[in-house]
Amino acid sequence: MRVIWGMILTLWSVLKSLSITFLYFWRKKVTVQYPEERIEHPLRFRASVDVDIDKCIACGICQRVCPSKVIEIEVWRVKEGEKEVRKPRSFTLNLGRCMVCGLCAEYCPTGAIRMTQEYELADYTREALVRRRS
Amino acid sequence: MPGLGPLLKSLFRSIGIPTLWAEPLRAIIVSVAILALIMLVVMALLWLLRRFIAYMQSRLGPNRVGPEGLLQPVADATKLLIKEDVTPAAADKVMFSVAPVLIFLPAFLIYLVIPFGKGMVAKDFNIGLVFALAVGGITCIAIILAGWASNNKYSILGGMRSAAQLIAYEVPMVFSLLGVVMLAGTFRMGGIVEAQSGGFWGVIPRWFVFYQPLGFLVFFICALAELGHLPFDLPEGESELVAGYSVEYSGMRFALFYLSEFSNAFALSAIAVTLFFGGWKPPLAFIPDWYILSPFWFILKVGIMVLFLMWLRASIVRVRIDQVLSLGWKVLLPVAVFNLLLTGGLMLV
Repeated sequence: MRVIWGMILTLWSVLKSLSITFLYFWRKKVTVQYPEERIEHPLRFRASVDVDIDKCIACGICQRVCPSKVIEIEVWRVKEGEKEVRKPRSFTLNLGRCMVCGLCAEYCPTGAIRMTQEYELADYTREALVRRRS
Repeated sequence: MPGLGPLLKSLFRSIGIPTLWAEPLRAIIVSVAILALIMLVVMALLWLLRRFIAYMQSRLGPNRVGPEGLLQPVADATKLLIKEDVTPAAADKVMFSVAPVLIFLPAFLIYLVIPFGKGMVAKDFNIGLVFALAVGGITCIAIILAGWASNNKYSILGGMRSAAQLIAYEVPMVFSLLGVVMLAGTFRMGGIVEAQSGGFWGVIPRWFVFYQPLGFLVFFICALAELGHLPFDLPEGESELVAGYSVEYSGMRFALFYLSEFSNAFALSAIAVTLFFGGWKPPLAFIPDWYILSPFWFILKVGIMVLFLMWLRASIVRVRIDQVLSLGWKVLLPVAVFNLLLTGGLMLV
């Protein structure tokens, strides 16, 4: 008797699992076909860094706070009326080293550095990942 | 109703090929045709399996190569062909290279006796069913050979499991088919199909599945086990045995294992359709069974059967080895014997 009951239970559970897969067959597919379709990212998603060199005051805080030594700033001093101010001559971001922690953007006093959502960073050489702004 | 064989022979005669050459030529043509059919079927099944299961898992499956991914199997085959063929240093070289050929042999031979349509059978033996079952048994040897020759603990375990499983399920399978043979009174595949002609009230065809529901159930479960399909895919259980007996195989040799697996799935579906679902007979009894349409009906039924196999594959999880063996010996065998007794008793009454 127990064997027969077990057989009936087995068949019932098989039918149940078949019905579940049948329902899933008609559902909307979750696959995103990447190059053609893209996922809408949340605003706080960060994938890479960029700098607005006109806002930068070359204070060097970002350079010091960066754990991976991504940032390299060349400074020159410019006369602005009476005062002499520090200005960046060039601002180099080595994205090949960047781990996108976002500390630089957090510490930047003028908001010159910001995190971007550009995530297609793959390239053939390490040099191609060095972004120089001047 | 001319068979294809005599048709071919008369064609040879009209061209002017000597009689001595006619028979070997016919054999070559038939075997090449069967081989081409197997390749086509396997490619179609590969595509179908991947897309069908993907859909059931809320995925899309391969859809890049060719329209709707239809050329994906071609790409896969090309990849396997140009892959390096590695033989492990510690393997038994001869047996290692014999096993893939040996596993493909039964997958090829079983197509000899399948009636694809009215008179469209390569060789309608009067013991066709026995031939199909006997040839199917060779698979077991090939799998043990592959497992043993690879000299790898995963493959030997996979081979042994598969041997235990195949032996456990071969017996109830034969018993479940005997009911059909008793009803039809013949082992000839064509004869079994002929025995299913006619219908109840002119609508429902007189298929043996209505006479032998228990027999069909047992046969179907055993076929799943013979194929190593999902509830019983222990010989190649990925999570425990990596890939079972085919661990060490790569390139074209692995392709042969793969090929025989899919070809067997089609062949066993075809046998199930022939024995239980009226073979090439139309699905409704009042439709006249025209010669031209008969392969179409057959392929349609086999297609539905194969789709059902894939559906099961997407739905069920694997069972343990002891559960597999106890199901085979303790449940299916008694049920099959009971079915045989029931059939005999009812036929006497």
